[in-house]
Formats: sequence, structure tokens, C-alpha cells
Amino acid sequence: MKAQPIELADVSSSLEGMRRIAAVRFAEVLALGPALHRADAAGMHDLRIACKRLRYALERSTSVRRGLNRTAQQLGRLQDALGEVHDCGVLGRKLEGRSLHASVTALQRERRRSIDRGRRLWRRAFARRGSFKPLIAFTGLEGA
Amino acid sequence: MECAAERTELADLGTILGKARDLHVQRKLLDRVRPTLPDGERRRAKKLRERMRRRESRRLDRAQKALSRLPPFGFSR
Repeated sequence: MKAQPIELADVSSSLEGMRRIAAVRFAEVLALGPALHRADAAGMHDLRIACKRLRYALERSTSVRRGLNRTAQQLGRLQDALGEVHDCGVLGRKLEGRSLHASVTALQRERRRSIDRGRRLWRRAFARRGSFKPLIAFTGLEGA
Repeated sequence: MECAAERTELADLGTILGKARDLHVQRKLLDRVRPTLPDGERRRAKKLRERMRRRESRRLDRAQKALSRLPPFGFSR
């Protein structure tokens, strides 16, 4: 999924620019979040890329708001879990072609574990003192 | 376009490193599941793992060559 273009012509300060970039990238992550709960392979791959874009954007904004560093770290962990889901899927398809059936079954198990890990990270991020809270406050996406 | 050749070289380097990374990660995943496999399949998985390791090593050699073709940073025409 391609990144949404961000209109910055009318921003009056670097803080406002950072806030707008973070809001657009966060909205992309939120829109793709349900893929993790549906265990939809293509959607989870897109979610991983969206997490990466948001993390890179936040790593440039960590000095403007306390807690964004923690959000970026959590996004990194989520990216790792989703990356493993993708890698298990790719290797599983490769092994299927070689009739390595027990290996395919073991990889499916690993993939399910990674999906569960991703879901736990997602839930924790939105919990009361979760690591997405500073981002929600920074972007103003309180209703997210 | 200025620096077009360097951009192509960098894109090639990225592709080669991406493939090497994929092979590395897949090899590590295979290592993780291998102890749980029945004997026959464990041996076949080990052979596949070795093939992956060799391919990864060849990719890294190619990446090294691609890197040596790039001008040093700070290069200007």
C-alpha cells in the first residue's frame, strides 16, 4: 500500500508539520489494524510497512513530546512480529513445493504464535497507559 | 539525470541485500523448527538449510562487489 501524500504547504511551524505527518501515518496504521485480527496475510504485510513509516516519522519527533520514543519502540516490536508472520508464510510456501510437510506445519504454528504476539502488542499499545497514548495525544486522534 | 548510474547501483545493492536478508531469516526460521521434525525430514531440512547458507553467502559476495563499484561518499562531479 502506497503512503498517503501529506499536504504541508499551509503549516506554520515544524511542530505542526510533525503533528500532521504523525496523524496521517497513524491513521494509515489504524486503518490497517483490523488485518491483524482477521489474520489477513496481505493486510498484515501492509500494516508492517505502515508501522515502519510511522516509526520513522516518530523517531524524528521524539524530542517534541515525551513518550513518543516509547511509541516508536512499540511500533518496532509490532513490526518484528508482523515481519516474522510474513517470513513464516514465505518459507512455508517454499517448503510446500518441496513436500516438507512437517516443516510446513511447524512454520504454521510459528506464524500463529507471531500473530498472537502482534495482537497482544496491539492491545497493550491501546491500554490505559499504553505506548500509543502519547501519540494519540500528540496527533489529537483522541477518538481512535 | 545526475547521479543516475549511482542510483541504479544503489538500487541493485538494495535488491541483493534484500535477497540475502530473506535467505538469512528463512535459514534461522528453519533452524528454529528443525528440532521438532521427524528424522527423515530433519535431514532434508538440513540440506536445504545448507543450500540457503551458500546462496546467502554468494549474495553477500555480490553485494560486496556492487559496493566496490560505488564511488566513495562525498563524491562530486
